[in-house]
Amino acid sequence: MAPTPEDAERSVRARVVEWFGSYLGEALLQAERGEINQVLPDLFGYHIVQLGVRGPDNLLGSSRISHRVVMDIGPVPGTPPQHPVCFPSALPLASNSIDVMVVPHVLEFEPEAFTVLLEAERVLIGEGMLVILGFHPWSLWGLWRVLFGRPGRVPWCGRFIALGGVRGWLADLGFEVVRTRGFYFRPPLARASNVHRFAFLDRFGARCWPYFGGAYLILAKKRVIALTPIVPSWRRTLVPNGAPEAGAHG
Amino acid sequence: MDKHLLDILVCPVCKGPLRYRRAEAELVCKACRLAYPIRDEIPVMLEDEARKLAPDEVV
Repeated sequence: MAPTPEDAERSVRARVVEWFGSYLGEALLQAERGEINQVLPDLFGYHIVQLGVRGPDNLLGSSRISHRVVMDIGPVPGTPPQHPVCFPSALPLASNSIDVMVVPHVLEFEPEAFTVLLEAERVLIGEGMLVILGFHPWSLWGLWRVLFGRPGRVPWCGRFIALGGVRGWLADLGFEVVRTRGFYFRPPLARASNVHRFAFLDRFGARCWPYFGGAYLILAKKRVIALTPIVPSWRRTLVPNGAPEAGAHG
Repeated sequence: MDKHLLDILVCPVCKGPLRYRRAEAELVCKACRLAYPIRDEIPVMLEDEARKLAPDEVV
């Protein structure tokens, strides 16, 4: 079914936020909260940023970092903003300032996904952590998208990027992938009864086909090349036997 | 306005420092000559929504 004129008028970003308020969106968000709660308590620093509003509550509840910021993705016409507004491909954050950045389902719906990662790399400090949540194309969700996904409808209008693709981008930007995990193995059925009926798939999926979950979490660390100060070789030869021990002549 | 956030906010265009104008509720980038609005204590850091400073306006 073609998108309605009302859908076309509203931006994809606004519809993504709405979708996360639907029953299916909330079920996925709950699973994501469970996954991210296993990761965030071990990450420390001064500033943690979530890029994009997903659901009524943010995903940073389990973090121990005191200064938490949720950045809304613009434009936000009409309603007064609840969070600082920005474009993900032009972050208004200082370089090397953020300790942890959470990017939940932003890459799928942004035309310049790589630029978003480039900006994340810029704002993160050395050894800073990046948490990415995304839809997995090699899953029941990906299959559903091909067979039944209505063009123009969220989440099917997004570009599902394979785990390998994101890992490749991260490697290009100098990140080290610390952890990847697939989750939500249930089919994307919107009815509450169906969501519960297929709950057993989460148990089997995690054990039998862990990389084919409907969504994935990637935890990556920004690696920087540290300079090691070395003594010039000509200076080393001046003291061939090393420095005399303190008190040797006294 | 969140003071810790103010410490890390920069201009999204040139990544340069911003000047906080409390009275006008704006964050001003001197290099780009743009003033980003602050609505209900929430900064809107979009180039499209920023006000272009007049040529004679002193930053």
